[in-house]
Formats: sequence, C-alpha cells, structure tokens
Amino acid sequence: MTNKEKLKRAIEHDINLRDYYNKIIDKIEKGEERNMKINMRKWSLVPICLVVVIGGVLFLNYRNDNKTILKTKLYIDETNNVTLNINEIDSNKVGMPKLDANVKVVTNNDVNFPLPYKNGVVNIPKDLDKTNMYIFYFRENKESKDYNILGNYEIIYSNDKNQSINVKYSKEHKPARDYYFSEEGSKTSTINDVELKIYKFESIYFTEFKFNDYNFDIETTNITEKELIDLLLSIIR
Amino acid sequence: MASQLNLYKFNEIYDNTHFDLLKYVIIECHNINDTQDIIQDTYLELWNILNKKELSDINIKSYLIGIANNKIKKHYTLLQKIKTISLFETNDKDIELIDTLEDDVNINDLIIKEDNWNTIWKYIKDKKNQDIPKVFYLYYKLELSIKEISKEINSSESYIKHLIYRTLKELQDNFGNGGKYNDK
Repeated sequence: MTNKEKLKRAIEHDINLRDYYNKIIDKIEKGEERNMKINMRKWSLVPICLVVVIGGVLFLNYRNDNKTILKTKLYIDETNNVTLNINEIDSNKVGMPKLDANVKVVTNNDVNFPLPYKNGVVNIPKDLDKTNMYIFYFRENKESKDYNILGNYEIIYSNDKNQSINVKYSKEHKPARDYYFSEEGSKTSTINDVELKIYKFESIYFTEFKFNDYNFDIETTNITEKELIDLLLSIIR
Repeated sequence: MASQLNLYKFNEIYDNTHFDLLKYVIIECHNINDTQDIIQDTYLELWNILNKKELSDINIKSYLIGIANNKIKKHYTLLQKIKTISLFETNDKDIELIDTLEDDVNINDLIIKEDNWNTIWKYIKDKKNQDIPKVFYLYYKLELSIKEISKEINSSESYIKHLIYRTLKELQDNFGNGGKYNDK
C-alpha cells in the first residue's frame, strides 16, 4: 500500500460517514424515547386527578393490568366470509419504537418491483395518491459492513393528510418491524379461511398473515375499518 | 411506528446528500475537528423538521447546506473565530521551508519509519492553519486537483501547492529518520 493510500485510509477511518450516521440515528432514537416517556409521564398525571372518581373502574381492570390487549371488537360479514376480531392495544404497553441501524432501506421505484398481490391489483383508497417502494437489506452480523441480505419489500401508499397504508412482504422472512408488544389475550380473525391477527393502536391498524406464499405485515394510519377490510379482502381472495 | 416513514425519507436524504454536505462543512468550518458535531446537528435539525412538516418541491441539498451554514455560524463565537482564523503559521522556520521546497515532492516518496498514518493525520488535523487539513482532505481523500481545490477554498493554486509541499516536508522531517516523532 502506498503512502497516499495509507493517508487516505487514515482520513476515512477518522472522518467516517458510517459512524456519523450511526451516531445521528442513536441520538434520534434517544430523542424519540425521551419524547415518548414525556408523553407517558404527562398522561400519567391524569389518573392522579381522577383516582377518586374512577377508583372502582381501575379496580375492575386491575386483573387485566399486565395484558397488552385492552379489548377485542368483533365484526362478522358472512357474505364475504369475514370474521374479524380487532384487538385493541393498551398504549402504555407498546414497546418503544426502535429505529434499527442494522437495516438499510433503499428506495426502489423500478417498474419490475415484485408485487405480492394475486392479480397485481389491490384495493387502496383513491385519495392515497403517493406510492413509495422500498427494499430492506440486512447485514449478516453486526461486524459485517455490507448490507447484502435481502430482507423484505415495502410499499407505502400515502397522502398529505397523514393517511397511509404500509404493506411489507417477503417470501423468505417475516418482515422487519420497528415496534413490539405482547400478543397475549389476542383473538384470531379469518378472511376467506385465512387466519390472521388484527391489532388497533390509536388510529393505527396492523396485521400480519401468510398468503400466496408471502409473509405480509400491514400497517395503516388514519384509515377506516371498512377501508382496512376492503384492502384485506382484495389481497386475500 | 409514526416515525418510520420519516426515517425512510431521512435515510434517503442522507444517502443523497452526505458526501456533498461533508465537503461543504469541511471547507467552511474553522476547525476540521468540529466536522462531526456540525454534520450531526444539521441532520438532527432535518429530522426535527421532517417530523413537523412535509418537505416537498425544494432542493434538499441547498436546504441542508443552508441549515449547515447556520450551524457553523452558531458553532463559533466571535472570540473563537479570531483565535482560529489565521492564514499562515508565522514563524521563521516555516517561511524558510517554503522558500527551499522543491515543487515535485510526492507523498509516496516520503520515507517515514513511523508507519502510523492515523497519528500523522491527527498531526495534520491539529495544525493551527486549518487550511492544511482541509487541503489534505480535498487532495488525498476526495482526489480533487490543485485547480479544483483553489476554487473550492477560494485561494491561489500556488498557495495550495505550498501548503501541500511544505506539510509533506514537515512530515518527512518529523516522522522520517531522525524526526522528533519517530524517535519516540
């Protein structure tokens, strides 16, 4: 190796954009975590004020205190062979968002982007007029520098009104998530005899299931229950 | 969950802008050791903006450079600027070196026993005249020509050449045979 190459390597070792990125993401994660804790602390003040008034209600719910699922809402549509159990999640039990720096997400708007839908058609609300497509890559291990393992695909349908549908899918793996929670006490839904679990958290629905050889992980924001069912029926048919 | 979409946007912007932003910050900052802090503050501000509003129909590179420019201004107090801005290290030995230097000094011809280029780069980075590490970064890392560097840092080509050749000579003297750093 020449002196020039040695100096170049020393500069790259010191001014390393990968390190810069990792430190930025680390700061972002810590900031997000802090914001969430502040929000939770803010809301935790409310029960102190209301404890006398709703003491009885709190007692009734005490047995369920360790469960993530608050309640389950049943929906049956015999015509379309749909039985849905919407499992509502306790906002205090959802894990912190984890922005995983071990994943590299690449924008890919190639016309050959593989679609998981049977006939290539899916029922998306018309006002979701933006479509972005991504590919997730993983590293073999934490020491590896290259993100060369194909993880999953993702299509995000969205608009400027903060409505979105994220469809992640992969034939090989369960798609990567940036959140976690306990599924204890959740109930299963069926659509055209395919079993799936549907969860609701504030204005977000999410579900995962296997169909047509694909592992799906779908998350919607500010989408109605009807729009969610139409979407799932168009995929599982 | 809600931040995932913004993280994709952020990653996309980072991928498309980090090389140009780094180059800009290195050229404009007063001390190359502050680069990481300024880059970090710039992208963290971008993250906060992404969480508040949609950034569409703007030239994101120019937008980021605008943020970086403000960060650089805020980073240095007037006193720091006065302390750190200096065109040349004004000691007689340096001036003498410039006069006696050959114009064809090549880094690959240096015989440096101390084969620790991380230490050598740190030595260059800590020079009082911060044009030196900037020029070395642009010349040896980005492989820009002397002409391109002179445009980037708004100085004459002969000034750039002198900085390079004088520093190479200094490296030879300090890290080569009998050099003070080599003997340690």
